[in-house]
Amino acid sequence: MASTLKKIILKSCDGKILEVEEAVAVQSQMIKNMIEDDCANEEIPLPDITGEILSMIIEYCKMHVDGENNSNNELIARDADFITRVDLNTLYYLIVAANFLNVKSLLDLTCQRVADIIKGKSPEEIRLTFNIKNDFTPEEEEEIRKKNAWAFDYKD
Amino acid sequence: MIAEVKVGNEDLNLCFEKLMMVAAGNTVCKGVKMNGVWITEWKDIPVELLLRIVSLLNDRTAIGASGVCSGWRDAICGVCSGWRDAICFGLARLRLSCCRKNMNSLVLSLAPKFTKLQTLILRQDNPQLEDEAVLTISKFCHDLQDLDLSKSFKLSDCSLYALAHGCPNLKRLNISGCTSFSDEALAYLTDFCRKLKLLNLCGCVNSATGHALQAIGRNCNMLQSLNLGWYYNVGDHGVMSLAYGCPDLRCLDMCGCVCITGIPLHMVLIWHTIMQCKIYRAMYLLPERRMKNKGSMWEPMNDRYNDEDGLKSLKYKPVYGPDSFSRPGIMRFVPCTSYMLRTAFPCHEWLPELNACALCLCRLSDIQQYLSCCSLKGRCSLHFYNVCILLYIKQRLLES
Repeated sequence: MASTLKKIILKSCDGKILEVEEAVAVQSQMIKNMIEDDCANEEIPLPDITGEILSMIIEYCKMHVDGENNSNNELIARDADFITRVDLNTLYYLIVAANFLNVKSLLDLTCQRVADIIKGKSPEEIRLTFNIKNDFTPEEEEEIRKKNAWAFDYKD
Repeated sequence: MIAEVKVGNEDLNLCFEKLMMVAAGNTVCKGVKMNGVWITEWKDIPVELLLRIVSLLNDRTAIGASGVCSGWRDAICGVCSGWRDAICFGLARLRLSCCRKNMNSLVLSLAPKFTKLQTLILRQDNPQLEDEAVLTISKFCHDLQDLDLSKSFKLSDCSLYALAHGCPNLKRLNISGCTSFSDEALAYLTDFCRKLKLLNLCGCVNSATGHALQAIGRNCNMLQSLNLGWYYNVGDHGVMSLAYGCPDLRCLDMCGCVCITGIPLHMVLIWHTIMQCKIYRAMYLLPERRMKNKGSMWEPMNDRYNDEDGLKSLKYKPVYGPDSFSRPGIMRFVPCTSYMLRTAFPCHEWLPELNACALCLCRLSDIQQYLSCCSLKGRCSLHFYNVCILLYIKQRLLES
């Protein structure tokens, strides 16, 4: 069996180097694949992920590895605690990084968080929350309004 | 251990400041409010991630989100505007997968109006569609060629009987995950819909019998792609029927079928042969006595299949689908590298034959790498017998 204490070395885009236990690192399907393919013996450069985001992701993975024996509820509570501490900008980078590293549980968690934030908001409120500029022409807006009205027409 | 990092609020702030700098430095971000909190990344979120998020929303909010900015609109509407599709494609194509609650009533009201429909996508995340809806479809949409009913748990055999009579022109039918369809109904359908080119039966566990496969082999001679995922009960004769009856078959997905122990050797072989156009090569492995009684269950479609050597003349075009080996972590089975082998066949408890015949289709160097890697990690010790077979096959391959 491969040694469970093997360290994986990750390098963020701003040059920060993190040493991670293999058990933690394989939470990322991408890294897992690399390890299985024997490509993880040297440091793994992660060009799009900053040190801070990487640390958070590792913290998350570690939490999940350590908490394997805990009850499901406890893990959910920890997840919730983790994700509510994250502001929207960090959340964006977390999603992108979780997607890149393919950490499925984190991707689910972050996407659910964004969905929860969006839930029940009007387009205008969503724009405000996420600071998205309204780039529609008035005609387009009119069309959207029409379409939406139509789409809801069939509701029982 | 990780280099210890605790992320508290302070760290988050620090982290955010860094992010701002990185973003500004890379000029990734076009509008940073320095004293505020916002940068403009959210509008540029990759489509796949946006869709993942939107899929968690209800209909109303999802449509609301499509009105946020043009980027979001294009991403979201591209996927879930059955309405727009229906108009753009002259009412020939309708996709209602976005409907999470009202699909059944929607189909009931739309099908009679859109009688020219050729494509109808009704994939569901939570089962909504009922037999009545499919009856309506088959009553009005006689031109239907492409129908996706995947994950319609509520549908019963009535639906298949109705489709058989109402939509004889079906070319593509996806009923993956429709667990309640029986093999009888499926066989009946194939008797009427003889133009089928693609049939996805993944997870249709109740119809997963040799009877169904024989009917497919008998009726669907134009079949090009067939997904039999999780057909545990399929016997050899069923798969043989496919091999004889569907000469155009290019892609056969039997994920989940290989996990059972005692899977007949020649079934696996035929599977591989169809997948990889190596029928004449795999023949070497086939014990002769098994080949002798192949004709008893199944009457060949064409005389040229009568002789044993006839098999060699079959020309299968190899197509490797993304799900050909749907074990987690495998993206594609192209090319068959040592990495693929390890992921597809990581477990030494698998039948030695399975390993061997998978290996026989690979390059020698990849096999060597696979072997050395397996023995290095100590998780797989290929039996001596395996290696013998392997070398034997290789030798025969080199000769041919």
